[in-house]
Amino acid sequence: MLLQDLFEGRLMGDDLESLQHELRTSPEAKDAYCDYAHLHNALQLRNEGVDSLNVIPMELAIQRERQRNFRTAMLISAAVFVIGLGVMFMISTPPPTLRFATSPGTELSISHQLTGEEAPEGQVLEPGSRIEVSHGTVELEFASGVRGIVQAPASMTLRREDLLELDEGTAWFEVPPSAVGFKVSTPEMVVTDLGTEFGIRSRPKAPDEVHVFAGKVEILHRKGVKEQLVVVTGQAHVAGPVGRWKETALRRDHFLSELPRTEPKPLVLFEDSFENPDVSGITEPRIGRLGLTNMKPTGWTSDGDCGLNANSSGVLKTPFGSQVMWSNGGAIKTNLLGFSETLIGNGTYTLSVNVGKRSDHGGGTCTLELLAGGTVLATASEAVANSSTDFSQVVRLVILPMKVTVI
Amino acid sequence: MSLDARQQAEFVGQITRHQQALRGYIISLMPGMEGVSDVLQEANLVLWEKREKFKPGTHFKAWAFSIARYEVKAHRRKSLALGMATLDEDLIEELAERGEKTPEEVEMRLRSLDKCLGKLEDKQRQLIEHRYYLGSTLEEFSTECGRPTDSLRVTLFRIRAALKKCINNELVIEELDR
Repeated sequence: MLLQDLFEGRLMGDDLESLQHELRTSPEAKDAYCDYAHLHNALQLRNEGVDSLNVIPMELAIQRERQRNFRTAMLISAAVFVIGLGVMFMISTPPPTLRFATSPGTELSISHQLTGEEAPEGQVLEPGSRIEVSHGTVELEFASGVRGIVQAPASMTLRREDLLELDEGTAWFEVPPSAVGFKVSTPEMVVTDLGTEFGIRSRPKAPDEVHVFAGKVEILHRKGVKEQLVVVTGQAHVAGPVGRWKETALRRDHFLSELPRTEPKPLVLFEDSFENPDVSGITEPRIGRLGLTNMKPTGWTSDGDCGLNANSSGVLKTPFGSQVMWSNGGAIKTNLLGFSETLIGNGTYTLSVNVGKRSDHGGGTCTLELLAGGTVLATASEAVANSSTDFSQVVRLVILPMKVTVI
Repeated sequence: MSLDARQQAEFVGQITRHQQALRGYIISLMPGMEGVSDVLQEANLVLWEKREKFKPGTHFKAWAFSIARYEVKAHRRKSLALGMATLDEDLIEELAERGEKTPEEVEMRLRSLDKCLGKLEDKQRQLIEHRYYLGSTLEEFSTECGRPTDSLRVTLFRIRAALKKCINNELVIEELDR
């Protein structure tokens, strides 16, 4: 901030002295000063008012005038040429730089640098276009022949036909010989294709990875010592600290090379239809009524009376499996330990439970809670009407999908 | 000895080619001072007046920068006499020398800046445009947009930091392309 104030002409007194001391003693501060001066200059040069014509002496201005006359002649020639191009354009429209297709269920957003009539239409990207994929898979087909499959969560910007900036995502690329030199940059590396098939993983909380399935690529670490390496078939590297590369196991299973034809089924992290222990044929003596046992399902605890009932008892029949867990009103709980290792950052998760009620009891309200320790993260509550004993009327309590950030 | 037509053309080419780098060098020699364009124009005039002393084939950039440094000194004396506070002269000269760039390096940075400006959000770009393209002060922009000056100052600082980071990333890519 002091540098900004200095270049804005606002720095005085103690602040000026403090910055002066820092600049005399710290090489980093000196570099920061130089960077700032260059940025300041570059931004001013982009100012339309900064025209070098205005700062060159008169004799040079005369010289420039001659050049301008020449330029005018060139512009006329160029105009003729452009008209020619226009005619050619009507005959043959060039293909877009990149076309993309999506798998069923894919959710994405696109923004283009080109606006108005120049903005690309349809599933097309041009240099400057940015695409963010929150769910699903996208297939990229470059005009150069490069093909890529990118899995969500992903965000990328097409910089040029031969340069894709991948901020986040799991991506696989196949590059034909005619497109050798194709580059993918991520926050930690720049991958240059040397004729190959390769995969890249870039995630916010994990080091970037490159996996080479055929041919070879050149990789440049963008940080620290900026180690540069050629990686060949069967090798995989992960961006290590201080700008060096570390070899890692090749994982083809992390990448898709074809667009899925169907929406992927949700990954089930936990499911329990209370099948253990098997209580079929058991009539619990303590409860001793209606075929309900007080045996608790494995992994579950309760504040009050609860237990299991088998469909075979003929009392309560669940459409989900062959046993149902019952409770006389106390909370029933289980601990979902170990989930943190399975959760994927920015993934969306749903917790649901099916609840029914015996027809010989009055109505009531059932509440579902997701807790982290003693903290309630999310809750769902719903009135449950009486149903017949075969559970034909089941209320599905759902904790709405939650976005999870893994730290 | 006067320059022949070809030598004059070569000299003009050198001045033109070094304009952006020369301007950057002058900015780093006079941070926060008004009159960068005036100094650049003075330096250009002196370069032209002394064109016959320049030996073709020698280091034009070093010669041009030394003339610019002299012009900045003269301008600085006037500014200090008017009560302007800035860094000590020896420190500024050390920093300017450290940050010297060739015309090619300045050109690369400008290309990178263009890409990075394209990544800014509309509001961020608007602030940069007001500050640099329209030349308005933060106070003027504050009145126009209804945001406090201090808040704009912090935002501008963050935008510049983001641009700096982005330019450095782009330069890595550009180097690879060469």
